[in-house]
Amino acid sequence: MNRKAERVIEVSLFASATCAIVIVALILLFLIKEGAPILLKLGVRNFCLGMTWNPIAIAGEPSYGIFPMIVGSIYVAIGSLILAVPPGVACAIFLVEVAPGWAQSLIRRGIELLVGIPSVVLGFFGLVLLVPLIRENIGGCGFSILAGSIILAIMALPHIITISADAIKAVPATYREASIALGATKWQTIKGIILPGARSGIVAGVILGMGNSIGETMAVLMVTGNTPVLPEPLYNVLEPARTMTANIVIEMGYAAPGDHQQALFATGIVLLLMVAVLNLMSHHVLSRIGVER
Amino acid sequence: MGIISTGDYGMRWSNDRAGALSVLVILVASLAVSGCINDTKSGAGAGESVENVELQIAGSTTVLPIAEECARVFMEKHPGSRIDVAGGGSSHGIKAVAEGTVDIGTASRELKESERSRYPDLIPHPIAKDGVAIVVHPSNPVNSITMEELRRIYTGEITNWKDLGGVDARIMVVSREEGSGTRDCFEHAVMKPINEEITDTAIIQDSNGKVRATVAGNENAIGFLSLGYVNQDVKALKLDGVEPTVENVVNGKYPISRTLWMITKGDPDPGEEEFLDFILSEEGQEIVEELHFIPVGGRGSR
Repeated sequence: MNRKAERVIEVSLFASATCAIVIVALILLFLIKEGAPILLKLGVRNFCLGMTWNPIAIAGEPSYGIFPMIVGSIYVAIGSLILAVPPGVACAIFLVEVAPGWAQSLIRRGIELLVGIPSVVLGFFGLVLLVPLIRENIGGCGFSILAGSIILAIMALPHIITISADAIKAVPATYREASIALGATKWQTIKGIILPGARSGIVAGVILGMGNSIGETMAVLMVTGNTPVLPEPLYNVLEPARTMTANIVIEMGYAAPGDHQQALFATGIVLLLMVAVLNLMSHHVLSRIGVER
Repeated sequence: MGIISTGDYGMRWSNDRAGALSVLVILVASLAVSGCINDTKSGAGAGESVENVELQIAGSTTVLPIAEECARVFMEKHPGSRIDVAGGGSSHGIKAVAEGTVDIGTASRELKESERSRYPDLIPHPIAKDGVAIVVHPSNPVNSITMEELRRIYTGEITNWKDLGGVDARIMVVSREEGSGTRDCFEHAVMKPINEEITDTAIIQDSNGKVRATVAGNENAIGFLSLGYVNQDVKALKLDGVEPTVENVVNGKYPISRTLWMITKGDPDPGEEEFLDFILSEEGQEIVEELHFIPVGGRGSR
C-alpha cells in the first residue's frame, strides 16, 4: 500500500511538472498561430522596423510598424536600470557588509513592502503626482520616458537589491579575511575584493531586472503617454513613448479580428522573444558563477 | 451539498478511495450543475417561462454602466434571474456574441464591414445615444471652437493656444487608442470628412476616465470624452457655437454623436427579448438618462 501511494504521488508530481511545460508550449503555439499570419504577410523586417503604427486608417492603407515601440520599451527599461542599479547595489553592499543587525531587518522589511505594492497603485501615483511634477519642474508634457523609467526603477529596486545582496554574500569569507589581514580598510575591501567577486551575480540581476522592466505593463502605460512615435530628438527622455506591452493592452479590447488583432499578437511574439533572450543571458551568467565557485 | 454528503460516506472507506471517489463525485456534480443551467436556458428558449432569465453580457466599456445598472434593476424585478455583465471592449463584445460565449454583446460603434461579412447573423439593437464632448482644463480661457479649428488641432497644424485666442502655450492633444468606440465616433465626425489621421504625437489614454484625469491635470490639454463622463473637473467647449448637451445631440445640432448597441445572435430568444424590452421600456430609458446618456425612441432597427 505504502509503495503504491508513493508511486501515485510520484506520478502526480510528474504530471504537474509536465503540465507547466505543456501550458508554456501551448501559449507559445497559440501566440505564434495568431501572430504569424501578419508577420508573413508584411515580412518580419517591415513589422519590426516599420515606423508607423496606424491599424485603423481613415485615409489610405493601415500600417503596422512597431519599431517606435521596441525603442520605447528598451528606452524605458534602460532608463529604469540607470536609475535603480546604483542605489540598488549600494543598498545591497550596505545591507550585507555594513549594516548592524537591527538596520538589516528594518531594510529587509522595507524591501518586502516595496515588492508588495501593486503596479497599478504605482502607476496611479505616477499619473497624479509624478507626471505633473515633471511637467512643472523639468519640462515637456509630463507623460514621458522619464516618468516610466522612474516608476519602473521603483519596481525594479527590490529585485536588484535582493539578487545583488545574494551575490555579495556568495563571495567567500576567506577573501574578506585575507584582505583585512593584509591591512586593507573596509572600503578598500568592498571596492577591490567584494564588488569584483560579486560582479557576475550583480550583472545577472541587472539583466533579469531589465527583462522584468520590459515586460511590465500597467504602471508604465499610465505615465508614458503611449504615443507610437520615436522621441524627437531621439535622446529626449521628456518625450512620450509607447512600449510594446502598452500597445497590446491598450488596443486588445477593441481590435477587430483580422490584421489588427494579429498585429497585436505579433507584438507579443517580439516581446516574448526579447524577454526570453534577456532571461537566457541572465541564467547563463548565473550558471557561470555557479561553476566558478 | 453533494460534496459534503459524499464526504460522510467516504469516511467509512479507506482514505485513498475516499479521495478518488470525492474527485469523481465533484466531477459528476459539476456536470450535473452545468446541465441544470442548460436546462433552464433551453426552458426559457422554448418559451415555457421567462421568469428565470439567465444572461451573459459583455462588450463596450461605454455601454458597461448602462448594462450593469439595467441588469441590477432587472434582477430586482425578476427574482431568480441572473445577468452577468462584463467589459472587454466593443470588438470583444461582437466577437463573443458571434461565437456564442455570451448571449448579448454590447458595442459603442456600428458593426464593421469585416464583422458583418464574417458574422452575418448578428442583429444590433440600438439602446441609447451618446455625444462626444471636446474638453479642456477649466482654467483655459478658450470657451468655443470651430470644427475647422478642431480639425487643425487634431491634425497637428495648430499647436499653440494663442492661435485660438488663448495663452501662449503648446497644446497637448489627448486622444484614445485605435479601435476605441469613442475615438471611432470622433474620427467619423471630425477627421473623416477631411480624410486625415489624428496626429501621431497625440498622447493616448485608454479610457474615458483617464482622458478626463489627463485633461483635468494639465492646463494646456485638449481631449474628447463621452458626454456621460463630463463633470466639473473639465470644461466642455462649444463646437461651432453649439453646446454639447443632451438636447443638442437629440435634435442633431451637435455633430459628434453615436448610437450604443446591444447585439444578439439571430433574433433574441425570450430571455434576451425580455431584457432588451426592459432597457427600451420607460424605466430602462430613465436609467440611461440618469447615467447621462441619451434615450432612444423605440426599437429603431427592428
